Amino acid sequence: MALMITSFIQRDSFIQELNPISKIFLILLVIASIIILDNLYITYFFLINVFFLAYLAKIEKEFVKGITIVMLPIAVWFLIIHGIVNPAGKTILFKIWFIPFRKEGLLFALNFGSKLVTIISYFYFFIITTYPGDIVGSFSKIGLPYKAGFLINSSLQMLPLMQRRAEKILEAQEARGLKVKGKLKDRFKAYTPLIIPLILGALMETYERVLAIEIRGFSAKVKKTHYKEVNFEKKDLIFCFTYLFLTLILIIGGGNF
Amino acid sequence: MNQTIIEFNNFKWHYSNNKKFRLDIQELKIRKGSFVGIIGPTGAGKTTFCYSIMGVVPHLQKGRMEGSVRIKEIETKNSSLNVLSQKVGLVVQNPLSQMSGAGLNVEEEIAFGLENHGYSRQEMIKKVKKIIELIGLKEYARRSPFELSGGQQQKVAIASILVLEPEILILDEPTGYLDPLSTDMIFTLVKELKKQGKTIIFVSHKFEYLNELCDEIILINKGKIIKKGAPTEIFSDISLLSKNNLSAMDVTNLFARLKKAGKWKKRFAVSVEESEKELRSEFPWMR
Amino acid sequence: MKKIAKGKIKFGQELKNEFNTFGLVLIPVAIAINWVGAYFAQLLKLPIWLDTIGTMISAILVGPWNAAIAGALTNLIKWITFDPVAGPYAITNAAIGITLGMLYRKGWFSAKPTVSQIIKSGIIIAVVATVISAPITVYMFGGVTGGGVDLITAMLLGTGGMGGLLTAVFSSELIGDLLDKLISLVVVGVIIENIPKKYFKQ
Repeated sequence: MALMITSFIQRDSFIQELNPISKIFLILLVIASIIILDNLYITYFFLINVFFLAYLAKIEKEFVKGITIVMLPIAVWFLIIHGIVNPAGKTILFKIWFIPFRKEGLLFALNFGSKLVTIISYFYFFIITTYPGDIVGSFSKIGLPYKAGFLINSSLQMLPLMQRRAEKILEAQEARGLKVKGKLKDRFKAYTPLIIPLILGALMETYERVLAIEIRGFSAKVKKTHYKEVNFEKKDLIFCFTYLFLTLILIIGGGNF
Repeated sequence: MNQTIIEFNNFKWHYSNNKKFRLDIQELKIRKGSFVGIIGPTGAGKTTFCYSIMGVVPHLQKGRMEGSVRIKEIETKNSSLNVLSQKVGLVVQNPLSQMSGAGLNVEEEIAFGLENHGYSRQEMIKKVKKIIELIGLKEYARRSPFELSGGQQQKVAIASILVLEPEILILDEPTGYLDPLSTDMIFTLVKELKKQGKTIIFVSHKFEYLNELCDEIILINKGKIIKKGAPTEIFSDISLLSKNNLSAMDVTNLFARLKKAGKWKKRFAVSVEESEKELRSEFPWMR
Repeated sequence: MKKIAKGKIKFGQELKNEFNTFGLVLIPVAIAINWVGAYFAQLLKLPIWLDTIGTMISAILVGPWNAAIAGALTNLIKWITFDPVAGPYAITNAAIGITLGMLYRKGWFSAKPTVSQIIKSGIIIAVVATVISAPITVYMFGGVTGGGVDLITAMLLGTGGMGGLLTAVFSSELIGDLLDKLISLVVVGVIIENIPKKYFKQ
């Protein structure tokens, strides 16, 4: 398995096997419904749905943990800011240390915040259930430019590689007596002996890499093909149609909740 | 049958920021299927030599070229790296820089060159499988190239080039970054390739290996070909080597010392096997 | 693709030049340098971020648009590895790349930068970064108002008792940014000086 920076979790479930495009399709449906319908019940329906999907993907524990850690502080901050500052606020509901929290602001935060949290949850769900290598493989079928695919895969691998190098350089320099703790002045001085060798090494390797890929025909003016393919399978069709159907029902019946 | 596959004619090259010629080869013919070792001190122009056959010079480097380099009937100047990369392959010293980054595992990395040339998916799968078998990479096929050791990466680099099935393979000090075990692994691999009839150009300082594998040795210094000849001829000529800042092998130096002490009048051996043979033939009590 | 002026290369060609093989291979490296630059800064507990050094190097070695992509992708990747506030600032990072790229083209910042060049460029870049970031910060944390009143106006007017929030954000960000960009530019200057001449101008 490749050394990657994303939080992909491999579990034995069809969700991880789905074509990434199917999941993106779902995200688009969710965004469209939430924006068009502006209905809190529908928003909560989709929120519950993503937790359900997380359960199907057998990652429910990690998912809940991730969402809580990230979203909770933001949600609280949102409530506070809008409760206090939102100009639509008029009716004071309660005070904490004499700071008034107004009803309209809080309602807005609840409404808008729920929508935001729901949408972000879907993105997070996408990230932890999609193998990064599948992303380029699936998008190239629908016309992702070769150069963009190259960029995405290279970036995914380059980052952890550089991180490892950074740690090696840190070890080496510390072994030579570099002080990374102490007065601010010393710590500032320690920065260049760390970053300079890293960058120079990386740049030199870049020049060499250009050569290496050019002699494998990178600039050839032929239409490039793809070795790795991610196909659209039956389960993808079922997945997409189910949600399309559900969303249509919601939209048509929309407003009647 | 022994046709010329690489031909230099009145070739001169200098990089754009330098008036002096980096490489100056009046005439050189390399036969198809031969294994040529290139030796010379640092800065001699060996890498430029490799670049000139690959087409990196003149297509990727800024400078001025005179004369011609021909790969079969194709003149490198008038061709492109796209065409040349299907006839010539080049493996360089740093294994890491040859990992493109586009392949998330070894299979994809090997397929990269094929993708660039637009091969169909079925063809790619076949060729990748074949080369993985040939080079012995089945164990690592699904791993990320960046998690492999230097020696393994170098094997992947060689595989990624060979999958394009070039007739000529150039290796420019491929074992420079590797430990002795990995070095041996690469030379063993290259020995196999020689058996398959590939034309191989190998730049190295490892004379023992070159002596064993090469059909001929070219000594390059200061941008010119100083001497071209059989390995035994070149590696036993200690004065030639030292004049060009190269050291002879230990066994050869041993014979030179014996000669100096007046104890040896015959030729200098260039390998342990040869030494044994020479010594046994000279000293009956050794038999 | 319009011709900008007679004798100057067309913009389309300019773009293509910045996304040639070297440009493409450099982008992931620039992103990684941004990342590790910040990592070292955090490790040493420095009061500045130093997370745009990669963008800046790209601006000089390739050009403004390449740097813009490198910068924007840095933030998008940060977003995906779950720093949920990083995404919108992709615009800031891109702007830094474009600014330095343009400054370099116009000669305001050279391959061997003088102290005055560093200071001038540092100030310009810091101001650009702050001007673009501050509204993003306020907007993001404030969110969209439902009442049809422009949030920025509300902030400036000090409704609800938090008067002048924008001004406050603006000035604190500016000082931090200035120091950050100046030191980043110094690092970039040292790097560029140490690249062998033959690699320049690919």
